[in-house]
Amino acid sequence: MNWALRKAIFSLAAWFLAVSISILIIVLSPGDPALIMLTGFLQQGIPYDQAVRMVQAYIGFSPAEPWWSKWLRYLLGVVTGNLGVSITYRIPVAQLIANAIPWSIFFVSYSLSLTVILGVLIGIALAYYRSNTIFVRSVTTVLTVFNSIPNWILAAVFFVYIGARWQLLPYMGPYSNDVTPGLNLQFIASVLYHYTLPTMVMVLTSIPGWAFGISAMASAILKEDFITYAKARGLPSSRILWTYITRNSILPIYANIAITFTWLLVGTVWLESQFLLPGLGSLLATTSGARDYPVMIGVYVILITAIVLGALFTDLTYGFIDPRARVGET
Amino acid sequence: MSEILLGVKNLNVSYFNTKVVSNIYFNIFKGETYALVGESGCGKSTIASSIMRTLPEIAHIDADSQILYYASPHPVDLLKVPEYEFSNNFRWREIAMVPQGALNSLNPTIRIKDHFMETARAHNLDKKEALEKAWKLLEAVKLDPHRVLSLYPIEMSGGMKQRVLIALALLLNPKLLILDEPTTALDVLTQREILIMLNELKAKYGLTYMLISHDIALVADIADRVAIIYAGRIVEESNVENIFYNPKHPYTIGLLKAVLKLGEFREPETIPGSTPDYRKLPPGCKFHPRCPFAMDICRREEPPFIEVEKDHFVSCWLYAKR
Ligand SMILES: Nc1ncnc2c1ncn2[C@@H]1O[C@H](COP(=O)(O)OP(=O)(O)OP(=O)(O)O)[C@@H](O)[C@H]1O
Ligand code: SF4
Ligand SMILES: [Mg+2]
Repeated sequence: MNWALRKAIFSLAAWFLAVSISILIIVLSPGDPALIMLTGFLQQGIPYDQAVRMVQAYIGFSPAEPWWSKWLRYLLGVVTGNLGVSITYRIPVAQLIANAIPWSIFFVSYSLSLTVILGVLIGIALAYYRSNTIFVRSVTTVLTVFNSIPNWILAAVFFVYIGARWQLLPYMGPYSNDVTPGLNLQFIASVLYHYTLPTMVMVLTSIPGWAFGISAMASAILKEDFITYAKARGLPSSRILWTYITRNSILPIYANIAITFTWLLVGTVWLESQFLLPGLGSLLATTSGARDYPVMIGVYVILITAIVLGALFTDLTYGFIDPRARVGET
Repeated sequence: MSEILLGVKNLNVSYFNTKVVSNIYFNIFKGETYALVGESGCGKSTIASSIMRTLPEIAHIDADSQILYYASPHPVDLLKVPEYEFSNNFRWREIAMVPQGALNSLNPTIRIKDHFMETARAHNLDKKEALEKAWKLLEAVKLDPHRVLSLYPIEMSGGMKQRVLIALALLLNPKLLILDEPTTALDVLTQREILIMLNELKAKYGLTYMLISHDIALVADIADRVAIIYAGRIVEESNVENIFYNPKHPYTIGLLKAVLKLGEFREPETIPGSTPDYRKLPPGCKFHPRCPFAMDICRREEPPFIEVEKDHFVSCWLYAKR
């Protein structure tokens, strides 16, 4: 069978499995919104039968509905493209998500590009200037520190110190109140400025993985025969640095972009809530508290779709990017 | 064939503080093929890298070592010229090399054409001219230029890569070509083809070869003169006939026996003992722990390099007057 088609089918299967398991976990975990609402009504002295009917009317399902039935119902909804209506906001889930998605796409792609570019540059520098022990040691120490801090802790620290206490950078909201959202320069500048701190958290915590990975690759590449031979031919060091060392170091870990992407996506759940930013992450965080099933499921489905597509994309494009991966596959 | 092209004088090279190449003297004459032969680790590639100035940073060449290149009326000491001058005037223009490890010497992520073009650009060769030259050279090494130029290294066989490296070495019309193990890692048939091709190219472009090999058959076929190297020292040097029909040094004799016995369906006779450890070389003749003729003096003093017959030099106490 065609290799790309096989990959695509595999991705679809993985997507379906992940979606079904997520929905299963959501409906099985404690805090069924129907039960909570029912308890509320009962405490107000409403008779049981009437309370159940009220819940049914309000939420769309009965507190007595068994878990497997809920599971199948939501799964069917997802597969048929009907995400339902939010319990808390009373508006279609699709609309909530559509409002949130652009913010998260911006936040994640901005952080991802900075992470990859800076990570590669630092990694190459570490390998290339390996004889400068002071440089290597200090950079490695800093990277190791950031590598060991989870991004939500760094987010809290930056929020409190750089934001609240020292007021060095904006730390709440996506833009300042005096700009009008739209395609104008003030708005874009304000957004970039307000995202500086959250992006720093994202990038600082994900750079070390890239820098260490690239530097390990580059150190190995530096010992390759083709480097010595390039020098023997008199190629300028800039050519050797970019076309020989960097190019050959990035390509094998190109697929890691998908992994970093996933991490950053997961990171938005904490960071968007911490810094009061709009987006899928904060949508998930707020609706999880209220056990707003349709929204939670909707956000999960979007996140899973993004992760699976990201992995599929890097898999499929890898062959075009690295000639070494092309051989053997036809 | 008496004009010197390259003269190596008293070459001494160390890695960290371990001396690996000691007191090497040899001349390469215009138009000849000069072969360096010896076991793995005896320092052949180190000598080549000293000439190409591609030794790693940890390597050190003694200050009184000389590598004289006779291009202009006056010889130039390649070890003393500034790097930019070496790059502009000598590297690849006068001396080029086909590196050991042909399978790994090309950048896996760029095409063959890019290898030619980047080399040309590094030496300020016009683009169009370079492409034409690359085309001609690839034809000369019996590859299809149209196809090969657009290939990535991984899409080629070992033999094709070796041919590309040879073509690439000739891009700037060098006079001296250093061939470091040009046939190892190739199958016998391909070895044969490369060998024939090397002979053709030499005549066609008026090249001088410095051949590094432990492939005795290849050396016998294309070398004019041979230096046998043991533990970073030349132990015997002469023309190819003397080396093969009248070897003097016990190491040379052992080396030839090890190879020639192969044809007779017998276990090849290897030289007993192992290659020396450079950090603790024995005193006296470095070969004495493995030499069947070792005498007392061999264990104490290093033998002198003496001419046993015309143009035949040996470093062994068996032939020296004591
Ligand atoms: N970069 C290096 N660092 C330390 N020692 C080295 C280095 N390169 C070579 N040597 C040592 O120098 C000695 C000679 O190496 P060299 O590569 O010149 O041998 P060679 O004759 O070319 O061997 P081969 O036939 O295996 O290519 C070896 O003992 C090797 O261990
Ligand atoms: S000098 Fe002595 S030990 Fe060395 S090769 Fe000659 S006979 Fe053997
Ligand atoms: Mg070698």
